[in-house]
Amino acid sequence: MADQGQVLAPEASGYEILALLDYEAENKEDLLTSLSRLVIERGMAKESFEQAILQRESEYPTGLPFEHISIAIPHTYPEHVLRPGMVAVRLKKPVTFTLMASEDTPVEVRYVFMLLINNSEKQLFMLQSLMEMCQLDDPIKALDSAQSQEDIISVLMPYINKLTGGETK
Amino acid sequence: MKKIVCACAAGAATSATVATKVNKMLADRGIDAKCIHIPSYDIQYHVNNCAVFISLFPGDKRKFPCPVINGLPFVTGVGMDAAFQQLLTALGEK
Repeated sequence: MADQGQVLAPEASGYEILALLDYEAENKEDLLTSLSRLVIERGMAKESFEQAILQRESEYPTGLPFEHISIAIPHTYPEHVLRPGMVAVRLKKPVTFTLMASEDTPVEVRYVFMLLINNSEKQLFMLQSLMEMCQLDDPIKALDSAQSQEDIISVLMPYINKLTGGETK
Repeated sequence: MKKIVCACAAGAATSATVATKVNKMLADRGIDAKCIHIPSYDIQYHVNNCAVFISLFPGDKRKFPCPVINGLPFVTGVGMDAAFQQLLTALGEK
């Protein structure tokens, strides 16, 4: 696990980002379980988060194929979340998720942004900003060439700050 | 004003992203319609009085009395112009 460490982003208005670089997982259940354990151990989510996110992903899949990148944005209901944040994961090998709004269309994703949403409007802007980022070429290239967890976070921070910086519409 | 309803599981994240984008596109064209976002468990209260339903999840076997459009293009931007055209057609706009 030495090369799978995580870094806590500088506090961005109370929003925490953990970045995992070249993380390995057998499948999405394996991935969601280990990411859940991580946020539960850090006190960011309740014990119930693990089951909740697994169930939610099977009912409401979150695989999203953008033009240049395919991602998944697993998340679950606010009642399982203690502190808002995100776990940004660059996977070593793609993991198969299911396409959002589909029954069983597979999407091979290389990046997973697990969202800890606790009902704030700001986090909605965060998600919108993240979706915008995924439609751009440069930040994706920067994520691909990131050498460290800090690199990943520095790519994401402008988008997080855009959100938490008080943007209204 | 015509009502468009977009639903996702909690009605908070993905559907809100879609509603924001759709509302901006409608406003830019001066179309008198508004997209609201709701949690999937509230669908029953909205299906009978909306013009178009934008879906973000599978497996919902309810029969919608209005046209249903896949919301995915409004999230990823891939195929969004075609999806918006589909929405306009469903609204009876050119």
